[in-house]
Amino acid sequence: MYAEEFLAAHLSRTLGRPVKWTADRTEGFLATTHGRDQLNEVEVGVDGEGRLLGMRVRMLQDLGAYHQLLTPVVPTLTVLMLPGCYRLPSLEVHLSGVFTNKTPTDAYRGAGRPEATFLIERVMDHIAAELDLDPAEVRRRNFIAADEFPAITATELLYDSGDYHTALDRLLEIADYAGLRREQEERRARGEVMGIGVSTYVEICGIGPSAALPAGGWEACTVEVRRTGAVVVKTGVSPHGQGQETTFAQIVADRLGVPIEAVEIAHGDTDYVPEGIGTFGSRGLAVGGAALSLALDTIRAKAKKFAAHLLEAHEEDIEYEGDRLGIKGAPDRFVTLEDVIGAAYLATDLPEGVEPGLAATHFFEPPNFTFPFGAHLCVVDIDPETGEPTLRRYVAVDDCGNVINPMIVDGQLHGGIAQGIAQALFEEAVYDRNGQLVTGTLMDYALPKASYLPSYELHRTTTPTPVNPLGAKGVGEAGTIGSTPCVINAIVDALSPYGVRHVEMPARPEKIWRAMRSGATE
Amino acid sequence: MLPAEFDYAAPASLDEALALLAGGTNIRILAGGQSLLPTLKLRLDRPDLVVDLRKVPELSYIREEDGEIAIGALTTYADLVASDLIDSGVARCLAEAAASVGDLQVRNLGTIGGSLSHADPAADIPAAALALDASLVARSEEGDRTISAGDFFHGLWATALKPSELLREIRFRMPANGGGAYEKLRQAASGFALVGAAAVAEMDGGTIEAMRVALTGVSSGPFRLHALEDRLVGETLSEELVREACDKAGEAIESPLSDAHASAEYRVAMAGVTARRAILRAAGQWR
Ligand SMILES: Cc1cc2nc3c(=O)[nH]c(=O)nc-3n(C[C@H](O)[C@H](O)[C@H](O)COP(=O)(O)OP(=O)(O)OC[C@H]3O[C@@H](n4cnc5c(N)ncnc54)[C@H](O)[C@@H]3O)c2cc1C
Repeated sequence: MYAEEFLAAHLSRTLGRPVKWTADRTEGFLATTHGRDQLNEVEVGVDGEGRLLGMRVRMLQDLGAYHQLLTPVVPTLTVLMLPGCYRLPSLEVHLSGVFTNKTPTDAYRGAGRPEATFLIERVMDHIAAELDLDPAEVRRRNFIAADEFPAITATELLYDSGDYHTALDRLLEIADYAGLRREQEERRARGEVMGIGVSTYVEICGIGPSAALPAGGWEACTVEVRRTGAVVVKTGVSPHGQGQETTFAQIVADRLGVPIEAVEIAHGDTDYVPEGIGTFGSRGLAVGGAALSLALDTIRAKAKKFAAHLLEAHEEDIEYEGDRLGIKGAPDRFVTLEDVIGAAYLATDLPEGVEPGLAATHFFEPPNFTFPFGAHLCVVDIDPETGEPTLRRYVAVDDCGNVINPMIVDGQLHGGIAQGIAQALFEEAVYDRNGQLVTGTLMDYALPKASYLPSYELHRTTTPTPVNPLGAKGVGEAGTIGSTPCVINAIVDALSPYGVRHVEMPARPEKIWRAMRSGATE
Repeated sequence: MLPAEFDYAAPASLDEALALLAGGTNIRILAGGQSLLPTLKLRLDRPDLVVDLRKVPELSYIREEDGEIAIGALTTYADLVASDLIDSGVARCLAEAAASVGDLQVRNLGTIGGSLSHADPAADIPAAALALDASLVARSEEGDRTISAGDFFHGLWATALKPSELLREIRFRMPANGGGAYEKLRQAASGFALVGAAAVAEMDGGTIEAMRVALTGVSSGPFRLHALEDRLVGETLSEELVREACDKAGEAIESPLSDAHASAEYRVAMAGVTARRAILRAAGQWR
């Protein structure tokens, strides 16, 4: 929330007229919020095989000038997610937040998880370099195993479900990791600079149990099957581009046997949809969809009551498939949803104790967060003379539990990966010595362009969550979380023959060029 | 931000445009608007009158006349990129420079005349114009005045154009034995050159008959690398020769630019790399 949004509402009330507020880019850069801005110092203990023994982190978060909605929550999430996909026996964290005279920091896609993932995934590569092990192998040795779930982490989160080994193995197979390493050797022999980066991630989604959120972590949904056959879904998640109009309609069509065109998803207007928390923290489907699912359960159960009554059968004997509600084992004895709707609204012959109509409202309270995960790999070529990196390949295996709409999931990943790559290579809020923001327009602040990015090769594993009835975990931020360390790992891998062990973000050509020349860490 | 208020005129002929220019001082020409509009919006400039040239019909063309190429000032980058004529011989440095500008939207609107007149220190086209040793034809009510590219650029956003003049045409020779190339490291946000090098070579077999190399993005304006050129002319083209000649190319940069996007040290080092690559490609076409 920005102050101007309240101001616009206040002015509208005062004037009795609609008020529109538009910020231009420069205003957006100066007066909204920025992301990230963490400095971390890490010490890691490992055994001779590269297995984590403990980690100590000193974390400095630049909060900017003001406390915004989630300003201190972001580094807190980083702390919680520091163990990543790994068994980490002990962890000590000193977190300091400092107010500065810069633009405030606040939640930015991933909000704390990209920072945590970046740290632990760089640590994994450092362990590999230190012990001369393959980075993928170091990860394998430290992964929480599939049969250990649900697993409690060093930060006392309960990871719901996961299979990190399978995701990584599939990734390496699809990308032909062994082949890439051979190619790298050949190219290096020819004086070329090529790097392969691997990162694995787990993140925290489906946010979250109400105990963890000051304004409640539940979500609300009303489903009304109208007498015309239209189905109206009133959802509190208030989508604004995430595609829940589509995924929720798909779920309704699937569960009630109505054409998808018959479903209307209503949201956003509090006169019409009074209760809800919203879509953030990758919770739209995992929490809002779960509320929808509960409402559909109630409607299906009520529809079965009507069907049983119409067919003079027992409720327990009714099967609801497609739009037909029929008697088990008697294929020709059925009524359709249309018949049920007729009976429910005519109400001349109601089943015992059943109200007319076909509508339900449910609130879903998530018992836990969900923890999607995945493994990413990229290949980068670096111009040895200019330091310019070219991302040649990007392969990802992501697991967000059950998928309702593959295209929407891929879309979220595409955008997220682009955003994460951009953090690694381009984006930076630069201030001069007087605290003046230098990158105040898009002529100076580098957003990724399509031509800077490769085509992504996206793959999936599916590990449903037991936390909600859909088995879906959330995918809104996954791409941003996995990709940043993947790219930096690839760049450091490319530069390793020069003795380089780390490059700071954004890894612009000049930084890479300097690292190649000095061999030192930046 | 929004621009400060200004008057607007869209003359339908060149004469009408020139009469408007003669009638005042605080007047700006609008060509593609790709630099003018951002400048107005940031209120870095507050003209009284904006004269839109886009309705003047006789300013957008690419023609070959007596071994010379003539390009109308309102010709867009996209037109240059699409032209087979510009994608050949020495002109190829212009085609490559135009293709490297910003993004497609900017290339569809931005014009060669606008780029040259605006004279941004990191613009691509001015380097190509210098390497081509182009003639820039200015026009006022008094008639045409031809200015060589070498005399046209006067540092940051400054040119030899007078307030009453507009840039009408760009001309350059198309020698049969010539090749051109443009090499650039982009500033990732805008696409402008962190370092850009344009090279034009005229070859006699393996011998370098003429060589012109210009840099942009590295200091307050584009400039030729005369010492480097002299070092190469008359020599037999070889990679070692060019590498050795270019190694120190950056030393010719007076007060190299240092900003949030790149340090002076990097720009100086990259000047040599881009110059070498441009020279080798320009000359290599005629090997
Ligand atoms: C997002 C973005 C990215 C860009 N990236 C690059 C890049 O990578 N490389 C690059 O070189 N440039 C880049 N530019 C700048 C672009 O090339 C401009 O188009 C160019 O500098 C101006 O050309 P124009 O036709 O748009 O001129 P305008 O913006 O219309 O005019 C620019 C100036 O020149 C004057 N002028 C225009 N035409 C004439 C004329 N015929 N005679 C006299 N004066 C005239 C105007 O009065 C004004 O002062 C970028 C611009 C944008 C918006």
